[in-house]
Amino acid sequence: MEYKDYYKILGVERSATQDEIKRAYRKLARTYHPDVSKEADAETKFKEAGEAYEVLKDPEKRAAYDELGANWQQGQDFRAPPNWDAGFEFRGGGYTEADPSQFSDFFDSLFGGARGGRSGQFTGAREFHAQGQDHHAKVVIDLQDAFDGAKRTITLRAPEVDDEGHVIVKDRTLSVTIPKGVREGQHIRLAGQGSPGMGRGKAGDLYLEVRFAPDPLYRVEGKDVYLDLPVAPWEAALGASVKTPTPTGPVMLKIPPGTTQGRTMRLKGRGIPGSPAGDMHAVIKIVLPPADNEKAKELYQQMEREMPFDPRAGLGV
Amino acid sequence: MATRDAPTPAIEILEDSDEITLAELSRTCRIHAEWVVELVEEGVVEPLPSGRSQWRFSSASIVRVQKAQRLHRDLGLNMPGVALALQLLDRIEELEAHLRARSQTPPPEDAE
Repeated sequence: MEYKDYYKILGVERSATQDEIKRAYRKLARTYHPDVSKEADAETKFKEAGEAYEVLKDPEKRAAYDELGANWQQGQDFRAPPNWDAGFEFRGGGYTEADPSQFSDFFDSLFGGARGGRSGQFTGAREFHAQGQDHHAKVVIDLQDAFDGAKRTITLRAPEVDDEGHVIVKDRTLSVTIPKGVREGQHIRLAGQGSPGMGRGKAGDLYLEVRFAPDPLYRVEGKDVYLDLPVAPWEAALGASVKTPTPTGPVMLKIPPGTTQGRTMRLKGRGIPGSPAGDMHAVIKIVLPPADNEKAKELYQQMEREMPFDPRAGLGV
Repeated sequence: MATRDAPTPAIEILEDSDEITLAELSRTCRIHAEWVVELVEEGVVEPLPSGRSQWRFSSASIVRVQKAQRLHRDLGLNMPGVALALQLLDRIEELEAHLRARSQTPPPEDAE
């Protein structure tokens, strides 16, 4: 299996003091905590840092780890020699609040014995009951799904404890109905769909956070939907009735004469459904016809000649 | 790895308007009611305004309390720290959504 360089993970030298290790861990924990960071691999990095800290913060474990890794080189496959920890005493009940089932195979191969979770010792002679853990996951839907509702199949990988006390990872698929009117950041709770409990403990819950995939046309903020609406200069200057897409079908939008760039026209109730429904905002973008042929250039030059117009009049230059 | 299919489960959208009691909130989040009281004192969650002597919370409070728990447990934040962190995280989320939603300007080009 792969050797894990805990010093590298924490970004410290092998000669780092315990204080330096603690500081390094805390910085990483703050940065990559999944509630704080939106990076895709934040949770992995957070857990890795936690595992590294778990070993390096304890002088005994750190010493054992150092001794073990002294002869390892980058890229070598790793196997802990039998009785490698002979001569080191592990005192204490194991781990503080850290959850050993979250740690890597590498960690297990070094310190798993101290957990007492290996097959020989978990014979069921003593019953163990615990409520299963809650799970949190994101479900990404299209904007259209918030208008129509949707069915989504999600796959979860969850650690479970089998009858012999082994921790195994199982895949589960769930079919979830996303109702109309759901908003970004909203949570859906599925009771009992988290990790199964142990013994007589009941299962934990599953929480899904709803997020929208980027839409080619619309942008979402809360209940409201935004659309950039391109118009021609004459439409903005003279006013026009413009066919405008909305998530619930096109509408004719009246652009008043003298409309300026960036003006926002609100279409009430055309945002995410609900009571009250959100609004759609059409943001006017005046687009110039390109001056890419003689006729077009001539027309522009005519405008320049015949329409007295200084757009920079207010700049004092 | 084994795969097993589960039937379509009952779902509950956590809404601002659905009400739950303090006991239900504590039970769902698996914490003592005293901890919820501390969160209320710090302003992390607020009971819904009602004439009742017993507190009622929106079901959306569930995820907020869980987030507060995780920050407290994983980062060692004390209560005021948790409150500030949540406030700042909310603000960041708001600003990011706002930025995403308003018009997308092309990246600047060098003029001189």
